[in-house]
Amino acid sequence: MIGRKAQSWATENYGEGVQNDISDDSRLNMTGDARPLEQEGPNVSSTSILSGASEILALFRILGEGYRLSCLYRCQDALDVYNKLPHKLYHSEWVLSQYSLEGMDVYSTVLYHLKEDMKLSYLAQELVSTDRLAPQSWCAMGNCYSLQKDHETALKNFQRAVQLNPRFAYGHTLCGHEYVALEDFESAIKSYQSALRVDARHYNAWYGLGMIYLRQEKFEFSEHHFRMAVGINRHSSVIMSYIGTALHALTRNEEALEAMELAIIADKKTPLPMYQKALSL
Amino acid sequence: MADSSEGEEEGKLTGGSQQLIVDDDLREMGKKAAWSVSSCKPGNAVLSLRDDNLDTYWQSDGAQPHLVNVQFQKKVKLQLVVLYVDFKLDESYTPGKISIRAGDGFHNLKEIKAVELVKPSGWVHISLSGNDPRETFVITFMLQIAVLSNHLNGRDTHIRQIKVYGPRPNPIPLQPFQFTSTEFITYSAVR
Repeated sequence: MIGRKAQSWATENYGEGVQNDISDDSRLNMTGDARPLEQEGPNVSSTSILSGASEILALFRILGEGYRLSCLYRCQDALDVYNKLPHKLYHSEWVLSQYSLEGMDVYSTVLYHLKEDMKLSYLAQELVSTDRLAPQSWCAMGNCYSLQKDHETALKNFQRAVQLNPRFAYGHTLCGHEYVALEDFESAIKSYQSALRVDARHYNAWYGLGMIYLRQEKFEFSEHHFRMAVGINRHSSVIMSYIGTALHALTRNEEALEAMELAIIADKKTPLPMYQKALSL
Repeated sequence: MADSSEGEEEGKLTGGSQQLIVDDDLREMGKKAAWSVSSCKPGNAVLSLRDDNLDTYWQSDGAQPHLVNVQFQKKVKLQLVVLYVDFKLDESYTPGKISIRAGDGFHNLKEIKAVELVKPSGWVHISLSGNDPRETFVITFMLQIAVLSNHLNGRDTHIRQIKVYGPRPNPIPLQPFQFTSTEFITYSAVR
């Protein structure tokens, strides 16, 4: 769904971008002038059409490349690519939505990871007072409760997020995480699966399933789901290191060591894979 | 029954705290259980034990010992029982000797802890941990809290609240202990 939405935005904004490019020095009201210019093709010299078209294609290439990179979770690279866009286009809604406007749920998770409970509760309050009907707001709220270890209330908040928008994959995943904390693994699996039904490339849900199977000592299943997750996001050293754990439990020690080695390379700051590696040696 | 005179087995507990303070690594398990009692006065039923209201109480109505049964759907790890009892209000209704039993069901309950409360007032903590660090918790289907006797030879008993705590599950599977540093915890899970 996200992909489709993004595409339609891309084309919408595209018109603006082109228009900005062509009529950079003039102000508003250019819509009326710019369009006929392009439509009345025969009157304009063919070279200007050609150069215009190739300019448009170049911009499309940048946007496409940026979107591709951000889908592969190579966020820094994606940002670098977007930075090549003309200033006005860079500030268009679609590009910004790639990492800021829509990302409040993810931002709240970042604060959760950093245990910034003050900032998180402030953010949650702020978001809920800005938009009570946005699933992201309730995700932030839920993360806040989850950090306080009140998993029942957290779950209620995440369920609310899902209720507001059943096509919001991250909400389902967060529900799953809370079910795991409450040790209700069956419901957790259901939640993760609904997340994947909405967005099969939502790697957090694949990871969640892997963790449950790891806990239930179904190591083959666990490895499979972790592999799916890593296939989507190659830069997660945490998932890589859990693949190592699963393989080690399957006594496929060589592969386990390989996975942990990869995990250490993926992120040198992470203590977990080094610890796991030491354990298995 | 425990006839050893050691403090651990036959511990005497006095006082009690007004605030319910429990370690952060424990969580309340009672809501997942089915609660029942051996007898009760109408209006002071088993619900009064779990309503988070210190003004209501369960009152038994029968012969001693008075029993509170806590049955779980699956085996759970339990580490701590906390009772709210008040000698100042309940006087001869206040529990004295308490035995805590665990088992798969009514047929094979075994005493795991025996304590004597001495004029308690407030939240009284009864740890289920043994002396061995490997026995920090009991793994059981069922817990029974038995009031063997009351203060001042009272017959029926009053208990105002009972909470049952178990250890929080480790966020990292297959790991015997929990990480404590922020760095380790941050990097140990995807969310």
